[in-house]
Amino acid sequence: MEKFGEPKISRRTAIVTTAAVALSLAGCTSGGGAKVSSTNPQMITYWDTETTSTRAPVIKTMIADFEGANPTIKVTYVGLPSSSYQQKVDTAIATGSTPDVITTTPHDVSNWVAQNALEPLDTRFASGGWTDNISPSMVQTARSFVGDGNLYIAPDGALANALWLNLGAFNQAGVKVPTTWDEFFAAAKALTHADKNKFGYVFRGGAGMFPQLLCMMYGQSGVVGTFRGVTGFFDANGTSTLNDPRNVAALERYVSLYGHQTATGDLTADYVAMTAQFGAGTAAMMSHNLGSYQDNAKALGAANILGVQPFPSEAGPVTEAGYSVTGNAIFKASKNKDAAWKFIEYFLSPEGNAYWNKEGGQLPSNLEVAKQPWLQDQQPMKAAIATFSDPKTVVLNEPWYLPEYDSIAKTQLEPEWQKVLQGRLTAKAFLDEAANSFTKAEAAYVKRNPK
Amino acid sequence: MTILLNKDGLRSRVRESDLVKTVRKRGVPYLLLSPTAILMLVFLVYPLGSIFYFSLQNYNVSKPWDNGYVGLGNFITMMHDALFWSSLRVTANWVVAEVSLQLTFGLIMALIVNEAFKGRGLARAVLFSPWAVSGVLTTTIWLLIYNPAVGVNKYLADMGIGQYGASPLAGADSAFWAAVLAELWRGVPFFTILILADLQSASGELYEAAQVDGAGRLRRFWNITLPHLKNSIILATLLRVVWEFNNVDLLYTLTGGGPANATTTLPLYVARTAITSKDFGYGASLTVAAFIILSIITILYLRLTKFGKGL
Repeated sequence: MEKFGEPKISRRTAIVTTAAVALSLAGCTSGGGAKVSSTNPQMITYWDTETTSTRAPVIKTMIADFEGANPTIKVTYVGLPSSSYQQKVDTAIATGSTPDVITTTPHDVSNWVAQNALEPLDTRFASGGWTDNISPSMVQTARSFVGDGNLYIAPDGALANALWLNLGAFNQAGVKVPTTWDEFFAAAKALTHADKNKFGYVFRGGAGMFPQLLCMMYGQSGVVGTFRGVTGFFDANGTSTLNDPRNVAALERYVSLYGHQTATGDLTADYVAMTAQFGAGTAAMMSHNLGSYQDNAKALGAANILGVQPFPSEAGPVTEAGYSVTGNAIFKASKNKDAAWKFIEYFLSPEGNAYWNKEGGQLPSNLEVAKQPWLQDQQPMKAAIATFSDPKTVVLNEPWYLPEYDSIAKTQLEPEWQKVLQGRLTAKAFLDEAANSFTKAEAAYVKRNPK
Repeated sequence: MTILLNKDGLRSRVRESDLVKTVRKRGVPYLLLSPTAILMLVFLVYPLGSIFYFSLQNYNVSKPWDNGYVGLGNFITMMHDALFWSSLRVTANWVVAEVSLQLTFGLIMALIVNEAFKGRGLARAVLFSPWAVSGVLTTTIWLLIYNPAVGVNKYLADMGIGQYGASPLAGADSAFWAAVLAELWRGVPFFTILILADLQSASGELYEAAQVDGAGRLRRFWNITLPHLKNSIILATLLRVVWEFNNVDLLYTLTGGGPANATTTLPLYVARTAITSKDFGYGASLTVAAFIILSIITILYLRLTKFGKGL
């Protein structure tokens, strides 16, 4: 019989029960010792900073394939528009709420490294055996994004610029596909019927105008300098070649298209507006990198588009501007770096690299994938490979390692470019301003990073 | 309460009671105010203090090696910054245009929907609906309207009016007024709702008496309606001045401040400086300038309009 004041359960039972509760609570905490399994997977967050309606499904398919092969890792995808991701990422860095993995563009890397936010990947890259399997030139380009020479992104592809042509418009108008710059300007004129809402070319006058401008200007002039072993837009003295007289003449000729062979509304055209015009058949030619292949093919049909490489420049060889390497990076604050790296490795693997670059219209970084026959079946890709394989081709490397790059190319020059198109600023004055800013930034960089 | 019988105990009890009363009288109100004070400290005073602090610093997150105290350096730079003065001018034009047009149309709409007519409920719903639309959706709608390929310009060109490929967002003046129109569409309902609400409390007897005395519509509006609406108009106008001064979302997504900075207001300049250029120090100094300007405007406005006092 129970006595008054005695506990209803025995002391031993109480101890055992308490221990069992404590153990189960410990098992509920994340990383608290519970074994990772397919029912208790490691969660990693992946931010895509260039999301579009065509790109997001490709990445989600890759995630599904990766998770199928790695059931103990789950990837949460977050797509961010290219026009506004920077603010979100900077806020995340400042508040310590960064994702595990993020896609990168070249000019992001130096900014995020300056904030001590990215994890160097050299050791993981080497120990994973990728040094022998990934294009050395792409790795070298990726290392050049930051002055310390470390590898902060795992390069999974490269973008080259292309001049996209609407073959249907050319055939309808009976205009020959251009092979020289003179033929390009003549074709733009022949394809323009403003009264019928048809234009020969579409300008990118708004956000992101700088790469297109470099391609069309340096592509004509071929004025490229070499500074500290890098071929780019600085000469041997570290002075920018942007305002070289041959570049000024090339830019003046390019600007003459605006309002005559292009719609006046192009003044504020960003990527979306530009590709919409091209895709709607309003503009017959557009300058953009291979990354717009998906959008263009979807709008006009793959058989109806041509992605031609730059024509030979005045200096002689083809000058390729707009070449960049893309890849994924890991944030230092990630608590799941091993799982994050495993996910990134999927983009480097033959299977993942082939799918990613075939769907995205990029040049693959995996050396095995680079030999696959599909590359020769996609005309824009075939043309780009042929150009890069030509030893005479000159590649203009942009100085993404400069922390001022975005500030100059976007904040400073975008409004000035619009003044040039409006006729309120001469091409020379514009290029003088750009050259001065970049020369100053380069000088400060050299001072901080003497070789 | 225990009653103590000896003299010392009685004295102690009296002192303790006075102390408790004093604390209760003076301390409890502060205790009750403390949650608000803490919230204000965290969400108002601290951020404001941070802005003032960073305005005295060179603080660029992508160039940490250059960061440090610069005193009034940012403000001196600002005085020589042509874009700062241009953005102030655009901001002034923007605020004056928006607020005056929103007030005018808002007042007209409120007076119209205050009258009894068939379909008044539907009219009110249609008039008020833009206020419910988010800023991003508003700009998406207006971007489509202004799009040269699918917008109004294209259909006008089909009819032989204007040119194909043109867009109101491509001209310096037209871009400004295009943005004004988009924001007007969104902002008029605010005045309409506020003024309409105030009109419900207007005395019908005053109107009847005025009518009997032979006062016409305009006279009744000027002598009865407007004085009645004075305080709500003053308050609504002040709120809209502050909100339009700080407007970023519509201009950022509709024009990005272009073309060629034609629609770059001061807050938009702050956003671009901080977000794209990562120069938070200079951005903070621009914000301090905006704060000072708005504070002066608010104080002067309330004094001149004698808000809260009758005519």
